[in-house]
Amino acid sequence: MSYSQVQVDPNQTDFPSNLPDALLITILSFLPTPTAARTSVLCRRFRHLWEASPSVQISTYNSHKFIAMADRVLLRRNPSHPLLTLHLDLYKFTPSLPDSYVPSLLAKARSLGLRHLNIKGRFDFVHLLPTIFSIHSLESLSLPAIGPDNSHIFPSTLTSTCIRLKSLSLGFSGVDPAELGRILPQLRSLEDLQLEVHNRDMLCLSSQTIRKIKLIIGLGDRKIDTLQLFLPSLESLHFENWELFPNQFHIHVEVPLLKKADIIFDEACALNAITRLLNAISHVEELSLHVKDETQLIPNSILWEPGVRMPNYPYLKSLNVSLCFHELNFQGVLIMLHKCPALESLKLIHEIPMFTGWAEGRKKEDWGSKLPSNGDGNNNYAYFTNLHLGKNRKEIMRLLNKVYL
Amino acid sequence: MARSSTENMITLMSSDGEEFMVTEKVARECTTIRNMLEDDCVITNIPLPNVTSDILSMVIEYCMEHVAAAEKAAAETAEKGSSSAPAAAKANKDLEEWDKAFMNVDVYTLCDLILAANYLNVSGLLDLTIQTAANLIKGKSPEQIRKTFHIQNDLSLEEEEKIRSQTPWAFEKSE
Repeated sequence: MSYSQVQVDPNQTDFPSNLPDALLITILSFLPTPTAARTSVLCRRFRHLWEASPSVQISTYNSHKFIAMADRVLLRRNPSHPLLTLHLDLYKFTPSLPDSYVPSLLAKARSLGLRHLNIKGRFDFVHLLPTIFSIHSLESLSLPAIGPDNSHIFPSTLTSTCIRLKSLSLGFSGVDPAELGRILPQLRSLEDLQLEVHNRDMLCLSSQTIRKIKLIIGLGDRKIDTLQLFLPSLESLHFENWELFPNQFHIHVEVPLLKKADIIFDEACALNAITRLLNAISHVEELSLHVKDETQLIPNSILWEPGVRMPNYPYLKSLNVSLCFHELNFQGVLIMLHKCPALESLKLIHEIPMFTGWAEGRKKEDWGSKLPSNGDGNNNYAYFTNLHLGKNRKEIMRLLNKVYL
Repeated sequence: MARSSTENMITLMSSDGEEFMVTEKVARECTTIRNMLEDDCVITNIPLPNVTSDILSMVIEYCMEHVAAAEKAAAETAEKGSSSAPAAAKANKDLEEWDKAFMNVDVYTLCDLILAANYLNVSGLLDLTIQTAANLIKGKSPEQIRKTFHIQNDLSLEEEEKIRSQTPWAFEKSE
């Protein structure tokens, strides 16, 4: 280790001497804990500053190192330094951590008034949940995938705890969503929910307070056939589906205040699932729909089920559709435009399908874009704004209809 | 600065007595000034005894750029007909690039900007400057950090060794 004195211009004060401790601590709180701790040797003033950082981030594959860090920055933390954010990367450590170790860290974090907890990594932390849900001060919580087949994961009652929890993010792999359905109504401050579900056949969520939700339905052997959402305060929905819905798909969605929806389907096989979902949210103001349709043997109509009436979109102001604009889908958009009297902005993006094969008598051209030619001289996308001005709307309808006819 | 008939102008005075005339919209980017204006709406001249003219002009430059970007985005949405490129994403990237270029300053200026952003409560600028300072620490040895920030080491060799031995994990190579 070398030791040398930095030459400093005596006429110029050093950088940190101009800044109060509070701002230096803020700078250190933007750094991972080992990097912040490295500043302890810079000079005398920095000796203990890092210890007051309200943010602790520990990430290491080595359990000895993990314990050394966590002991120092959490268990032996000065109680007068509040802890706002704790970020732990928990891996399958070798040698493994003692069972009671991480709960002891969380209990300490609880005593320091922790507000934001973010746990990452592959770690069976079902046994941590009672401690996590006993942190009364928690405002946001993010947990990765929980190990499979743990049907009773949440403490039986949460009413008195988690009263401040506003944001919850769960990467669910095998946990029974019925469990989540049970605890959601108890989280009375919850506004923002992010949830990844795999291998389930039913998802029912009910909450009076949630305003924003992100649902990701991942791949699994079992497929969701029932989706129920009773979310009277919901304003924003992100629904991402990577799984084929079965032919019998039941959907019941009550989201009267919904304003914004982002819908992403990886496969278009479950056509009626898409249209049913759209029917249930046709009162939105902003809609973005992205369908990646890669396994189709014949071009399918995504936006409307032939023979079924397309809903009205009375409040829709902004529509953003990304799918393969072959003839059927182009027709679908034209029909939809007549159902959107308040539309101001329209974006259509042609999603070129990745061909794996097509039915006999079909040509690649059948999947070609029918969008009008744009300013860049291609028909891969078309953007229109200010459609609420009657003149613009007429002109655009004429342009689109001309292409179609 | 063009004066528009519909907009109020506010005069900001730096610690060294220089006056800067800005639109109320730009001044309101500073939460401290916004609060003053809301308490007393007829105020038009605000002395800022903690900010020098060169730093104040930079803070104003930052606020003007961010107000202009927001106005441009709003105007584009209101523009007639179709546009040919995903303009919003590009505008965001442009503003990020602008921020990055704006942060190309020496550490003393950076320090003064942190203090000014904190005092005037410009949250975007405070985040940007604090993040920039944090980035200057990342991936550096203590010696390199001292050099970057012109910090004089007043610890003896023995003291430094002792501190290192207390948190050895802070001085190992990252994984």
